[in-house]
Amino acid sequence: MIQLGFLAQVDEEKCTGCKLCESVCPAGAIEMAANLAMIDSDRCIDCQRCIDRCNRENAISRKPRPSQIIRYVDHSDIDELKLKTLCAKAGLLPDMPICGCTRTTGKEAVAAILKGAKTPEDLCAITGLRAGCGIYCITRIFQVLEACEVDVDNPPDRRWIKLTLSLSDLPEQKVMQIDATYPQYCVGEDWKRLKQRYTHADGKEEKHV
Amino acid sequence: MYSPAVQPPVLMRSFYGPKPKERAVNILDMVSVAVGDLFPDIADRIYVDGDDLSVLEKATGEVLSAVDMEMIKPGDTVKLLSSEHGYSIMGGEPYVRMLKALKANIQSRTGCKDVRLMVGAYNGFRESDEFIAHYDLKRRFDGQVYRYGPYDKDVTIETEIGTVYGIKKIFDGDWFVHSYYDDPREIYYNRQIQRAYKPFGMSYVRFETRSIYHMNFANRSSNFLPMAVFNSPFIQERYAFSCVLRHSPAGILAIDADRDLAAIDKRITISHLRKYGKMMLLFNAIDECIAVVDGGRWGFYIHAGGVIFGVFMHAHDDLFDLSIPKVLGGFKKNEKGEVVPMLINPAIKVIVLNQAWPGINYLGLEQTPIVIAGEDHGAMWKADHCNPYITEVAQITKDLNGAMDKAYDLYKTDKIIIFDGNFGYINCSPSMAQLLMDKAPEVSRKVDEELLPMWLKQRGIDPSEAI
Repeated sequence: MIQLGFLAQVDEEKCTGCKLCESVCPAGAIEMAANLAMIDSDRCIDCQRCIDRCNRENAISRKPRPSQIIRYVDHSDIDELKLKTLCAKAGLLPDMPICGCTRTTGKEAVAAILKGAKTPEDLCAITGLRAGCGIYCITRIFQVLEACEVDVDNPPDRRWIKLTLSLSDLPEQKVMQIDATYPQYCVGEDWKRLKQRYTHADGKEEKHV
Repeated sequence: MYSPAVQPPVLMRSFYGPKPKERAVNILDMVSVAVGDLFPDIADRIYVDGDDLSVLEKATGEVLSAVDMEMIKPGDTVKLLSSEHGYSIMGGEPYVRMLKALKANIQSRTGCKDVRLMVGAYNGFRESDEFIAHYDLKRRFDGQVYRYGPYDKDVTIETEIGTVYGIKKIFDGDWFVHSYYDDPREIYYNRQIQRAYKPFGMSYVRFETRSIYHMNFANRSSNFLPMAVFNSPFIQERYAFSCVLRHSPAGILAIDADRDLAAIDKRITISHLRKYGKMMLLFNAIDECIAVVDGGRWGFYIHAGGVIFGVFMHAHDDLFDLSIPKVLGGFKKNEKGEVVPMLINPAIKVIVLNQAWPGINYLGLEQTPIVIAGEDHGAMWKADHCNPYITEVAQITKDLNGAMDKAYDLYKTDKIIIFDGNFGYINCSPSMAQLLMDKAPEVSRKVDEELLPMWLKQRGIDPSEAI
C-alpha cells in the first residue's frame, strides 16, 4: 500500500521529447505525444525516477495531487486458498511483504494480477510497487506474474529483463557440490529452508510454511 | 578526561540529500574516543582523515609493483571499475587517490594509454555525475571518465548457477581492474563471506541481478552469487587483477593488490573478523543510547569508529556467527500475528537524524522513535517512498538542539553516540565514552579467546594461520 500526495508534471517549454523518462518509469505512466512526455496521473506512483532521469533539461517536477490517493488492492473478495496457492507457487508467503519499501504483500500482488494486471508496469501502477528504491522487488514481480501464468516478454529497449533465478532453482546435486567446496556459504542449509516454503499449485494449504 | 570531539569528514552537496548543515559535534557537547585507546592491538593504519593523502598513492605504487600486468598491451582498453561507496569513505578522496595511482601505474608499466575510470552508482542517474564534478575526475583522469549504473544496457553472463545480467559498458574493454574497497559495510547481509567479491552481485550488474542477490537467496548463501559471476568465463576472460583500499576501524590499513582475488579475500576476512569483530562486539555491549546520524550520504552507511550505522542497528546479533541463519532482510510475526520487520538493536532508544539521505529502505527503523532535525530535512524524508513507515512515526523539530531535547523527553539517557563518518574515533557523550572504555577489555578478550577462533573456523580458516 502506498499513499500518494504528489505526481510528476512535465514543463512543456523544457521537454525536448528525448524519451529518457519514458523508459525509466516503472508504472508505464509516461507516453510521448507530439514529441512531449505526457504523464498519466492514474498510473503515476510518484517514484520520482523520471525527475531524476531528466537531469539535463530538468523538465519534470512534482506537483501536489488534488487529493491524496492510496494505491492498494483489496483482496478480501478473493478466495484465500487461491491466494495462498498462487503465492506458494511463486515461492512467497502470502502475508510477507515482497517489497521492503511499500510493504506490498505477496497476496496483494497476486490479487492485483487476478484483478487485471498483465505487465510489471500494471502491477506497479496498481499496487505502488517500485515507488521506493525500485530495485529489489523486481524479481518478486516476475515471480508473481509467472505463478499466475501471465507471460511477459522482455521489452525491446531492455528497460527490464525477466529474471527469477533463485537458490531453490538449483538441483540438489549442485547444492551438495557447492556445500562440499564452500561450506561457509551454508548453501545446503539455506536451500532446504527455502525449499520447505515451496509447494505446487495443487499442494495442500497445510504444507505451506 | 576525554579528548574533544574530532571533526568528521567534509560533506558533498547532492541532489539526493539535504543541504549540508552544521555538524552535530559543533552543536552538541561531545568528546572523542580513539579506536586505539579502546583496542591498542587494532590501532595500526596508514591513513586516517586529515593525514597526508600522498601516502596512499605511494602505497598503491608499491603494492602494484608485485602484480603481473603482462596481459595488458599498449593498444588495449582497460577499465577501472570503481563503486559508489568508495567515494564516501572518509570524504572519498582516499579512494580517488588510490584510483589515480592505479591508473598512472598501469600506464607507466604497460604503455597502455586507454585506461578509463568507470564511476558506479547505487541507483540515481545523477550520482556518478556528482562524484565526477565533486572530485574533478574529468581533469584528474585525463577526460577518460565514464558513469555507469544499474539501469544501463545489459550483457548476459552465464554462471555455474544460471544466467544473470551485467552492465555492458564496464565489460566491453579488453581488460577490467576490480578497483574496490573492503569497508565491511553490510555485515548483516554479507556476513563477512567473500566480501571482496560483492560488486559482482551488486555494482557491476543490472538491477534485476541485484534483486535476485538480495531477495532470492538467503542471508548467507546469497554471497555465492557474486563469486559465481566472478568465476564465469565471461568475467575471467576480461579480468586483469584487483586493487583494494583496505580498512579497519582505525582507518585505512593498506592498499592490497593481486590477480588472485581469493587471496585478497582471505586477507580481508582474517583482518575484519579480528578488528571489526572487536568494534562490533563493543557496540553490542552498549545497553542504551540515543544514536545521532550526521553525514552526507544514506544514513545507513555513515560510520562511527569505522562501523556503519546499519551495522549498529543490527549489533544485537553476532553478525559474524554463521550458525545464525538470518540477521536481516526478514519479517516475522509479532504477538498480534502481524508480519513486521525483524527488530533492530533494542539498545537504540531514540534515533536522531541531523542530516542523512533517504532513498534506501531502512527496514525496521520505524519500530524505534525517530526525531528528524530541520523542517527541510523532514520534508525530504516525508517525500521518500522508500520509508513511508518511518515518516509516519518520526517527529520533526526545527534544529538539532530541539531534536536532542525531544529525544531526551522520549528516553532519559545521557549516553549519546554520533555516526558522522569518522574512522579512528567515536564521537560521543562522556558517559558513552566511559562505557566504551569500561567494556573494551572484556570485549577484546572474548573476541581473541572465544569468538575469533569460531568465526575463522566457520569460514574454513585455521585459527593458527590468523592469530
